[in-house]
Amino acid sequence: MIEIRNCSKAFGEIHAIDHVLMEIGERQIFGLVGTNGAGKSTLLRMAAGVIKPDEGEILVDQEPVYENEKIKQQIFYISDGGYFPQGYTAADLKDFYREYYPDFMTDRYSKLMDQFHLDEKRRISSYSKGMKKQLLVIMGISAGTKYLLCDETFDGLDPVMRQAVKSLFVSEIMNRDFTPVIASHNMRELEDVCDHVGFLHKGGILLSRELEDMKFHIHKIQCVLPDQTKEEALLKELDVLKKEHQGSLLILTARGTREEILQKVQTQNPIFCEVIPLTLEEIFISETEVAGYEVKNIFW
Amino acid sequence: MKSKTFSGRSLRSSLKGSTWILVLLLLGFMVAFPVAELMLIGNQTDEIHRMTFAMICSYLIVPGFLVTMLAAVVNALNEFWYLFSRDKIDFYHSLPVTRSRFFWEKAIRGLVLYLVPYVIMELITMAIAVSKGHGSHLITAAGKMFLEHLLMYLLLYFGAVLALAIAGNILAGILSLCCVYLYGPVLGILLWVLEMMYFRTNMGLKEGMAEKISVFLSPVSISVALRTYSGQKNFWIIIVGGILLLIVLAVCAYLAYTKRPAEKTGKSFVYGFLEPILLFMVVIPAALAIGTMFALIGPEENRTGWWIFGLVLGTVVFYGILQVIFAMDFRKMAAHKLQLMLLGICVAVSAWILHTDAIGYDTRIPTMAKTEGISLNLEWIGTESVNEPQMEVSSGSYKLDRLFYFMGGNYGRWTDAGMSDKIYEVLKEIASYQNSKECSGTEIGVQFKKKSGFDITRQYIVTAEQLGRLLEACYEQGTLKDNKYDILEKYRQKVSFITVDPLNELDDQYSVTLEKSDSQKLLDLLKQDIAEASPQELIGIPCGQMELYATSYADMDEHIAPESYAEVGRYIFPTFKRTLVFLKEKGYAFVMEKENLKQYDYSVTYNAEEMDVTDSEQKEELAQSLIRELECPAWLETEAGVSVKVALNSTESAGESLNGIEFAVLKAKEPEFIKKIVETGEEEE
Repeated sequence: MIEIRNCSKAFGEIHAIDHVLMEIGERQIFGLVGTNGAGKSTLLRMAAGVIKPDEGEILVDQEPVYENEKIKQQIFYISDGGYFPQGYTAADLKDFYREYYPDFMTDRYSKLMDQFHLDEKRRISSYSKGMKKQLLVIMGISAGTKYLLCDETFDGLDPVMRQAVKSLFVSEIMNRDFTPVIASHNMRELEDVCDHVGFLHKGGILLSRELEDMKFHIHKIQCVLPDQTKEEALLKELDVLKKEHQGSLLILTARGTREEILQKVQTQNPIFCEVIPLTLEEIFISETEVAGYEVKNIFW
Repeated sequence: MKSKTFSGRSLRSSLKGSTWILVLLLLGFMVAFPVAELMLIGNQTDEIHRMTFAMICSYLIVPGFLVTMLAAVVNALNEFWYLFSRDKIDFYHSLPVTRSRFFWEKAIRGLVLYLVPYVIMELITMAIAVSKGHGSHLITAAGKMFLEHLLMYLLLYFGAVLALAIAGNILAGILSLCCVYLYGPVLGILLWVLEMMYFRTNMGLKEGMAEKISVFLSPVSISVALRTYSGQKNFWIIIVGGILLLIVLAVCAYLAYTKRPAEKTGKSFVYGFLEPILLFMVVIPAALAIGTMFALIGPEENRTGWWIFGLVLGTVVFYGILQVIFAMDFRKMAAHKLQLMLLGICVAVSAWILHTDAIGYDTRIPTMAKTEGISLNLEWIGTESVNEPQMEVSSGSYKLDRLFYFMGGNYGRWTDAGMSDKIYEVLKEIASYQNSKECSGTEIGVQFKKKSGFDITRQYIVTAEQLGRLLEACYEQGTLKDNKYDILEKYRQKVSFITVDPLNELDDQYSVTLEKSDSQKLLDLLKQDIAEASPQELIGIPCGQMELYATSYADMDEHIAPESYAEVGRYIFPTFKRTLVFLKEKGYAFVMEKENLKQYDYSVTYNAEEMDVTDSEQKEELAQSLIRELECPAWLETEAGVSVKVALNSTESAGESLNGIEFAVLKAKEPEFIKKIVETGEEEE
């Protein structure tokens, strides 16, 4: 388990991470989503032991990760930039990682290279962006680490590859102790991959929950109520995140299960009522709007 | 895991991408060692035929140093350049290796890349030397050269790593590399120039603090010093200094790398506390340099104004430049005004120290405990000059060092004078006299031979009395006497002829030339007289001066050019009885005949006023007090401002000034009427 205990990191006057408290459980695909500059990469870099928190600590399997060789052998970090040493082929890179990761699975590497149709003798510099991402994922899985930290790794993968990688992750989780953590601002990419999602905004964690649970507890309500007093009463009843009017149609985003919400709306005798589950992107927008991150706040 | 990371396989794997360095260094060392050696011994002169491998190594060490420097910089850049890229940092620092081990892994990898081509090429060099018959002391010489180069490599490598580890971007990396490599030598040169400009006793030699900063504050200069100080007394200090600097650089580089905050990549310097330190290290000397430059180029009447303007300008400009570099933002040019204020104060204090000699540069001398002895430069205190050809080895053969003559023979000839309590006390008094208002007299060069080997040289102004006491103390101690007159013995066999001139004889035609055999006889007698002469006698009034000429002593060494010559001048004192008797036998007298004195005309000049001496008694008195102005030794006090012209049988018409030889009046024998002339002149003033 990765425990982020009250971690803070500032770059000059900018607080990239501000007292984040979060846990990443084992054998699940964890999605770390956030606005631009929310601190996703900083958090992953700290979790990978690249940078040291100013405050708090990051524990991996109960041990601090920074400058800890033993623990870092259980973490493979794929950075956003995706650097490869000059002139390296995939085979060279495999040899390189084998020296550092004692559990490196050469057979698995060869098999995956075949499956993804990547030529290990070709220079990595001649690979396309997507191929480089695939190679990094293959290396990350073959390294045999318990945790795989991916920073915007799905950016650049086509939907088929994304699905292939998702399947790969799932099969790894099924077969061994494996926890991928994927940071991205692209909710659509994560929605069909992740089990658990953490929302990061302005350096702080807004929400961390199972994706299904999250979707189970937040809904969009579209209803037409007979009068204004009923609407006011409904708003008092519900934990509303967002309210919108389209003529007489009232659109609400509210916390709660479908049943709970329906029950409360029914008590107001609506003329029309519909409860719709939210996409991850809608949930994220709703949550960040509550935290003051709205389009209107950005432009006006 | 640990053993695996340092394993040969790991090394092979991590050397991928560094093959070009191996090839580059192989080529470099091939040119520096075997090729250079073949070029050297291909020139089959007798000299080169006699060369041992140690001598060959002394030629190869310089090209070897250049390739070593290249290797150190290239290896450091190859291994640590990644620190300027966030993506590369993420790649390397996310690996399960501590920074500490990463650091040593990189250092070892760099060392392997250096050592492999080095050893291969050195072995080939040794084999060539053996095949050509130059192989004596092969292993010792090769080992010594290897160790020297290894020390140089490590110094330069860790210096470069330190520079890269503290920098956050490429520009700052280049600047800090220049700073680590060149700050010491540049500061040393600047200090040297400032000492020359501000301190009167400085003799233009890079010594003391300037020398030490130049040598010890840079891995480059200490590497060069390993060669230039080789064979000198203080070579071991250079070695110890080099090892200490290596430890300091290695520890600093290690700490800078392992504690480096990765998130600071992109900024100028990753450690914020270094910025004010660098600011003070650069701005203060730069401002002093600019101030001095403006003082030099500014008009004479307002030199101080220009100096202050230069100081202010230098402070503000360099402060601004550094702030822009630190922040990578032109708008930050005037950030941290408090630092600017502090810098201004520091520059002002430093300028005041230089201007007033608050550190006592001119008046302080090394402690006696640290001083082994002194050497004196007596070239300016009379006419006892020495001109000897200096030999230098160039391209395996000896050549006459023309530069020696051009430079005034390395600022004149230095004569060891030993050390005693009395010498030290006189020197202390002379030094403290330097900044006094009435300081005037003759200049002498004093070199304090320090036990550390780092000598201090000063050019003091001394009164005749101080000089006399100093020389007396030195003659009493004995070293000066031995060294000063040993040179006559050196050229005894090679003497060509000697001329002797009287210093109080009124007729300038009166000199004698002794041929070789007589010259040798004279030198024998002179030797005995000098041995018996007391210190007081040697600082007495000389009655004559001999000039020894040893022409063409090429047969002393086949490599000395035939036109070489030596010229030695020495005073003859009235107490040198044997010498004087011998010279008298040769028809030469140093005592003026009284009856002859009236045959001369005397004209005394004081304060531009000329007066003839007509009274025969005054003439006789005056004649006894005269000494030739040009040849008069500085330890004898003469009446300042009084000059006497003497000519045989005045032929000039009345009203015309006398055209004769110029004499000075010795104060010890000053006639009463001259004293009166001077007193009257002073009263009138």
